[in-house]
Amino acid sequence: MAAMMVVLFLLMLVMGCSESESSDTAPQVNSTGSVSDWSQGPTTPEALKAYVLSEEQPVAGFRLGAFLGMGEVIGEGTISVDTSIPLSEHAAYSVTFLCNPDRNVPYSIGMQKDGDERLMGYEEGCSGSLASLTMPSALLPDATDVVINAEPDGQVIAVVFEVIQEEEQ
Amino acid sequence: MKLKRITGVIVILVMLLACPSVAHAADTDIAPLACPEIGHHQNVTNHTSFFMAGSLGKFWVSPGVTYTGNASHSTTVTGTVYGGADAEFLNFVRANVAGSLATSHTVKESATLSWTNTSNTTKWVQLGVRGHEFDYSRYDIVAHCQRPDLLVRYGCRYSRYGETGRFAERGDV
Repeated sequence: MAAMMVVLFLLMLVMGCSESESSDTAPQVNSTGSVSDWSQGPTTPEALKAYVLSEEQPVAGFRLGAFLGMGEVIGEGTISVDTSIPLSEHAAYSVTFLCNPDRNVPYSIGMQKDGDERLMGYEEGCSGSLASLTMPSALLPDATDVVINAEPDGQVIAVVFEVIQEEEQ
Repeated sequence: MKLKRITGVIVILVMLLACPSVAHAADTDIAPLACPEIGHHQNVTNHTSFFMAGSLGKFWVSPGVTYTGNASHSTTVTGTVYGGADAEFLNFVRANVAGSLATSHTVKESATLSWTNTSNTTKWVQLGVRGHEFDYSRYDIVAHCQRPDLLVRYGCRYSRYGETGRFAERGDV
């Protein structure tokens, strides 16, 4: 009788303290993306200029100033900047650009004056999305060109405006 | 008499194996409570957060230059959850980890997304989300084990459901 009680107690104990197992697997992260702005948005410099002009505030903290130039580059090239327009002391160059994702190559955008180039930014591949780079004119006063390097056959359209910090208003 | 002594050893061994988390409980009348109350429980442990990059590449920005996204970039960032994520799991982690947590988010730059590189070195920006990694467990305490002779609670019976994975939180990074 005592032995049966002991066995019964053991059975209750084992059943009462059991735990189902969980297992672990190394986590993974998957990323997917889609952009189609090139096909849906402005694909000519003129259309891109109209887009920028239609924006109330293309660059946060700045108001739009004078239009300075626009163009398209395939591979490597420059877009002339209108140097006849005097920029205010605290103005900045704002380059709004769009690349063709069908020619998905890395590209860089900068400005130059008399062969002195100042790189503004570099994208690792063409996402086909609109973006802007804004650089204080004091970093390269009287710049003459926007320089785009999308070798070997990248296609980039860009417009360049003067923008002025809103505090100046 | 010999039978009782052997049995006593067996009882202790069985308890050590079956309830490792409470094996150290003191063998006294005032042993600490070794398991939660009877009922349903969930918890999150080993929580860390990190940047989950989208599929778009990095944009490198020179010192002094401001990068502005023009409300056109978008990317979907997907986390992976081992074992799936049911409604109970999502409700709990949204309340205890991050309110907008999901296993997948499509993120889109806002028109006001603008970042200035104020450092002296070139920095990158990339569209992504804040990610979270943690272990999740769910269990039911259905009974407490007791040693009748000492009236001390020694452990509990529970079933558990565990998940480990990475999760994406909505928001600008």
